Amino acid sequence: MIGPRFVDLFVWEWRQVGRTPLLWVILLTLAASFLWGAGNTGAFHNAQTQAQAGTRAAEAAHRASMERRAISYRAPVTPDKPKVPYWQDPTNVSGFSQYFVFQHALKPHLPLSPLAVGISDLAPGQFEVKLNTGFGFDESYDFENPRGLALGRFDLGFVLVYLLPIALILAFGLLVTFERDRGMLQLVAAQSTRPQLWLGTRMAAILAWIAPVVMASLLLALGVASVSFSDALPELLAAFLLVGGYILLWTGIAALVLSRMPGAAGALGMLGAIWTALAIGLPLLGSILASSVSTAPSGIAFINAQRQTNDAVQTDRDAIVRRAIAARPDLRVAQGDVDKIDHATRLTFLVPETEKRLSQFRAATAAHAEQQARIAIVAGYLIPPIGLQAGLATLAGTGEARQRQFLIQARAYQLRLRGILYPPVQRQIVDPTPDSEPATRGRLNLTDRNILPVFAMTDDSPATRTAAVMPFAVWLWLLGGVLAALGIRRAGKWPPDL
Amino acid sequence: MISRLAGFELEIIRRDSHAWWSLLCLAALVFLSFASTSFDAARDDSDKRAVAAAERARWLGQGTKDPHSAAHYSIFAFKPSPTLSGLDPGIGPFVGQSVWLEAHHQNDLLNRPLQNATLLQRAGLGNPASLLLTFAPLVVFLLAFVVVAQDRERGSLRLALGAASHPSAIIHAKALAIWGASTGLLVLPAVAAEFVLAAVGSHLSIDVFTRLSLWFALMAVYLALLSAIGIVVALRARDARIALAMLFGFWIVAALVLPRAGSSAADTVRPLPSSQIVRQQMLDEAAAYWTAEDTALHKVQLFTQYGVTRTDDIPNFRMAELDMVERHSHQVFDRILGDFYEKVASQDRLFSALGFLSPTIAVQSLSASLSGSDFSHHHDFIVKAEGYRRALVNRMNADGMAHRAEGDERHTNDERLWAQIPTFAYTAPVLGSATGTTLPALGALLLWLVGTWLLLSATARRLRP
Repeated sequence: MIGPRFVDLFVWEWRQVGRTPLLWVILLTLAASFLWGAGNTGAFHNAQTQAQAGTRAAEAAHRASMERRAISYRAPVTPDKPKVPYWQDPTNVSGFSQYFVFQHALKPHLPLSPLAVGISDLAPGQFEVKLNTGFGFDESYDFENPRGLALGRFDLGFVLVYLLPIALILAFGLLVTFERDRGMLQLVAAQSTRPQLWLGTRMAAILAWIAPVVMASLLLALGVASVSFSDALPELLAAFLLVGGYILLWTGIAALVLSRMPGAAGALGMLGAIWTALAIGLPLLGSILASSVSTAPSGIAFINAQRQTNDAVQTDRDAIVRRAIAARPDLRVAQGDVDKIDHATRLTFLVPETEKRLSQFRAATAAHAEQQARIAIVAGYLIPPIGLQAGLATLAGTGEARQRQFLIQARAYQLRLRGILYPPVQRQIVDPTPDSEPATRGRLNLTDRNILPVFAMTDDSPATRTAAVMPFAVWLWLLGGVLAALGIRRAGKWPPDL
Repeated sequence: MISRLAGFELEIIRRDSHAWWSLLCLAALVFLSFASTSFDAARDDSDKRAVAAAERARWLGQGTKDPHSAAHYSIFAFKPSPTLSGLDPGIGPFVGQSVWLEAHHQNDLLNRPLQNATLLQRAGLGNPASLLLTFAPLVVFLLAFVVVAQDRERGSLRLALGAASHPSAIIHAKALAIWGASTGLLVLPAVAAEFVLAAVGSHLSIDVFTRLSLWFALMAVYLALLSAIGIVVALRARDARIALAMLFGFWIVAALVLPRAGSSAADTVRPLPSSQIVRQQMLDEAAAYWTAEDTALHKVQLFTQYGVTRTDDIPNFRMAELDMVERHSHQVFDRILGDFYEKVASQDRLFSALGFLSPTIAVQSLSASLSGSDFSHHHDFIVKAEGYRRALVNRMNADGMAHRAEGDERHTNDERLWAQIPTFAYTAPVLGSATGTTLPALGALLLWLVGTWLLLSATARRLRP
């Protein structure tokens, strides 16, 4: 008996599946979720971008106010308008370094940011970079309702990672088991169609509807969220590759489960259990394991260490400053004048010393973060939802690696600011600018306050971001392909209990 | 009779390996997450207590200095974990755990446990409440499918109803069996363990016991209404496939989509100003380092306040100015941050009202509130820590103002003054005093409970063999 050809059966199945209302309910719900998710994240990131613009405006206003005061402090001292204390004087270089530097490091959003919220709701996207804060900046964050952080945002990443598999489970679980539950599979089995061909064409037909609609909906959702496709083309193509691989993975899982031709209850039960295991069970166990492999250095203990170190440095402050001055040939002549040095100038010696003493704690924190990042990469391959989430975040520019780059660059920026301001501040110890005659309200030893560069984040190229997710995309396609092949192969015989 | 019937239905559940193992797996996950969350909380609290004691020792031993410098040195305050955080840590991992109570600043709480979390750590953030809220519906519906829809499909339900003198008793017994199995395995072990931990750790006050009892009741109610929904759908759907699809759909919408979508919607409908705007407003209106022009204005204000014309006539002009600026900042912080936190509470109220759309949302709001881990409870810590800061700074400034110092002179004091400041000891609010935002959720849950119970009763009454 000669069975039907794959193509003929596929075309017939494709037409039949396309007429199923259930499929369209699933696809339309998914498309609506894409739109809402992308719009939601796009609006959230727009608000963050506006806040960053507000920060730049505040910096400009601060500079303008400082310049107005600097001009007025050129006036001579009078009984009504006395000399301005150094901490209120932007024309005093040491006062300026400690009390007037108002610079920020900002992490801008990338063109494809509506793709995934990543860690952009949790990790700060801007820091005030003060000259004398230890290690770059004070810990801070942009307040988001913590209830929303705990529940997670309804973003496109959530829809793709968690809801898309459920849509696939529903579609495969209900559309492939229809004949089995209605007792019609016996009729199919009585024909010359082999079970592998029947299962393969039915699943391929379902996939042939779902995959293009998902991709088109994704594109539409990103377009509605104002993504400029031309600016994000490589990342966009990589995202499609990731999503395609993820669809294939869940198709493979479904094929394995459906290869035994279960009823809808059995299929949905098993697929639901796999989804639950991958979405929550394994991440929960993975997270517990990752924490047990290396316990995070306690932030509370760091406060203690910081306070102890600050106390110790304050106790020895004169000796530390004296030693630092003695070690500098250009400052050595001022060794005996340590008592006369103001607080802001002292800080230029004390802050590096404090950082040196606390560096082992910072190194431990950084090492832990690096280790957790490595574990997360491995976990991504073992737990595909985690891997996809990380991959989408990488493409969107909301991932952990970019945040680490931002922190490193913010610290480098602080060191750059110190490199600009510390030398003139310290030069005043040995070579103070002569006081004006007649005495002016301001010290006037800093004439140009517009000497600090603006922070500009240097990002990886789109090609680098795309290349970073390629191994995982290939893994998804391989895994999905192998599982699908195994599933189809497993469906070698019609079940005996039809 | 119902109890015997329920026992029989329980046996059916136990014999269905899919249903039984799903239930056991979720129960194991719930308990594992409870153990992990409780261990983390105990470790963090131990760290906090140790550092808080060190802070107190540092405060007392800071030596002789200007009281305003002492107010700048000040202390760090640490927020203890809520006693029921093992059951529902709520917003705990996403809010700061420590605050520096220094002069001039109402600092943000820092050290958010998940501030630098990887996506794995965030995705793996399971806790008993979140697991129950998200996955208990799936398991309960599976149980309902096993004891009702499959029974119906096989025709054995028809036989049982035909033979029963009270058909509705069979349905109530099925509901009781599902509810009993899920509550007994999913909720009871974690609650019992929490009870033991609280008793061993001497935290078992009347308030904690009441919260624990109510949390158990809340989850029991949640599972009861899920059981009722599962049975009603399984009985009313045309066939088992449709019942399954409807229950699966209800789980996706009510437990997966609506809580996230509702949370995002509440935050979108009632947006918060950005932290940048809030910080800038506080900086503009109450700068810690004010200008020389501000100093001139302060002088005029202080002369008026003291009724003098020379700074020398004010015993300690510097401290008087610091005190005036500090008290002004309190008003500014209360206005700006008070308004901000009211907006956060308003978002939470709106989210809690969305409990009318999904029972998961209602229970989520109530669970966090009963556990003391929602924003209202967190805000209580912020307010009390800030109250302590103000009392400390005001006391330091008052001491300075009480001692004459002219020009660059500095009055100093020592441990005798520092010891007058009591140790910072936080007491969490008792049940009912920080629950305003969850009242809509309570109303919603009651409505869901009554509605599903009425539906179950009506469905049971209409049953014919």
